[in-house]
Amino acid sequence: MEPNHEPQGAGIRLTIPGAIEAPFAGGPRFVAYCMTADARARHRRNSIKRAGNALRRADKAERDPYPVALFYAQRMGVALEDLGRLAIGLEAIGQRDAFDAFRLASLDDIDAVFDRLRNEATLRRAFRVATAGDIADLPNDLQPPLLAASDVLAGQWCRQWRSCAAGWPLLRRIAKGARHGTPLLSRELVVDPPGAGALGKGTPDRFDRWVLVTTTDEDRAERHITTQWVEADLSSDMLERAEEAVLDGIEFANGLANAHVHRVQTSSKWAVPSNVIRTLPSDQRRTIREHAL
Amino acid sequence: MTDRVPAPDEMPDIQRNFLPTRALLLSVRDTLCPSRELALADALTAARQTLARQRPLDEVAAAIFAVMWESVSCLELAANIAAPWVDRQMGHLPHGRWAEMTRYDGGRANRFYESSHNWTDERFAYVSGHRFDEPPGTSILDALREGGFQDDRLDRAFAEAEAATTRWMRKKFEQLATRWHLLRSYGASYEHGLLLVPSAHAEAVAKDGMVAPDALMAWESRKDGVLHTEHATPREVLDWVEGAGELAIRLADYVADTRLVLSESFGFDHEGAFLRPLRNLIPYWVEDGDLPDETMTLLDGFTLNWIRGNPEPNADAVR
Repeated sequence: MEPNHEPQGAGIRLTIPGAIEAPFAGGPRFVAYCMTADARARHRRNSIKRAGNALRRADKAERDPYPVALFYAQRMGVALEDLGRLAIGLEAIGQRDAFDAFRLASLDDIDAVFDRLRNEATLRRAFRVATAGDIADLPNDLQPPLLAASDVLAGQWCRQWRSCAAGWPLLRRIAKGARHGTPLLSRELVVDPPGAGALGKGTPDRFDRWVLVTTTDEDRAERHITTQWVEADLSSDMLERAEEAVLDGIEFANGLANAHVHRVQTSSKWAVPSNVIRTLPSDQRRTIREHAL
Repeated sequence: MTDRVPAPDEMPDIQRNFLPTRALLLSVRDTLCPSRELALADALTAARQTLARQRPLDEVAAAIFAVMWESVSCLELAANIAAPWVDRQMGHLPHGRWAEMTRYDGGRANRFYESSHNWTDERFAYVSGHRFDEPPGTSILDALREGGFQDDRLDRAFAEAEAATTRWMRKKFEQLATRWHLLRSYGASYEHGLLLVPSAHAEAVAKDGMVAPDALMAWESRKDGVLHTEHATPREVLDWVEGAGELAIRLADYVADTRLVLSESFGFDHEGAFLRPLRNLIPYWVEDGDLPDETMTLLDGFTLNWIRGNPEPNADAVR
């Protein structure tokens, strides 16, 4: 048996329900991707939790923690990449094919989106969280509760986004280094004699566990190379904080994708999760339910 | 107890070449290989459990794609570590191969695996550590002979070890290259968003136009296209993938370990670098029965000791 690889269109037949051709859907492939959010979230969450448990066992047994810490961090970085890509896809809806934007995004694009969406107004636009101006054409009685729910949702998503954005630069470094087989030097290889020579010289020894992430660029014409390095914190404390943020980010991505599928399947302009609606006063909850599809 | 023998003056630049190389190879052997091994084993166990629990097909696909991705990470580790010995891109620079290992080269792994079927025995010997590309084709024995050491038994053992290792590697590289070719797209799809296609709303159509039942489906990353399995159950797919990552880890470990033999023959103290006994100088990586027992005994027991003031090394076959 061998896995097969087929060109697009020849290998898969899609039957996606709902308004998948509508401009706000982002195209059938993007909707199809979003429909697998639950399986993706479950997989990412479990793989990270297993790695976290393995690290705690290694720490307890006083085994070398670096091997486990590295793939634990790598898995978290990969999960955050899902969120960054999804945001790029959602942002692109109405401007270009959302799935292509999502799928073709470079690491620089992902860095940029994590930075750009720290701004609440930008995040609201990207994730379809209504502002007062957006809902001015809705019935008068619906506007205040929907705006209140949207404000709660925006606050919640902004906090989640900023927490994930803060962890992305570190986890991205480890994830990409580990994925491409770049040697990552443990703290002890750099700090303890005889050390790594010129490599890592001057690196501050700030954390109890870190790896040196090294990159070399070559200027072939000048016959010159430049090697740069930076330490990446792999301490248990950092990894535990990262896990909390990343697991939250996985649920966040799951919620965003499911909200998008809900909008497409119900042809709704706005979707507010029920847990957010539950935070509203009862009269506002009732008004939203009366108007909901 | 042997004398402390200072390292020769002509050893490579310690700060910019020797120590960075040593540190990188140690990180590969002692950290990255164990890391990949643990991660792969974890993904495999999880995939088997997902299958055994008869979870929905999308979850099964995610779990098996995770094994594929782990395998691709192993394959890329091996390529990144071994390629500088057969596909040197920065040979015009004096920094040793460590700089090459830290330079991202998106085509490296592809070149490494996809060209391997064209390699001569000599190129396999560069990977296996029996020969060097500077000057081309030089063997470890040539280096020893230059130092005044010659032993017919060792010459024969070297020839047997080199031939058996090359034979074994050539066979295994076919397997690695096939797995690389078929798994790398799945690995990228897993890494760049876990691009699952919803099995409840999609069908994979096989080459013969028939629907492939239980196909594992994913969108390709960074280019148009879809990936799916056919004519195989998920369990069969997993069985097919399973060994590739482990073999790649063994390759990375072997390459790092054989290069570290030389690094580990230097010690450092307050007076500077000094020579340590040289062990396991002639490597081998073979299937059981491929090398006569007496050859392996000789190779495993061969130690080169250094004596201060003696212009020529004194070799003992010990044990």
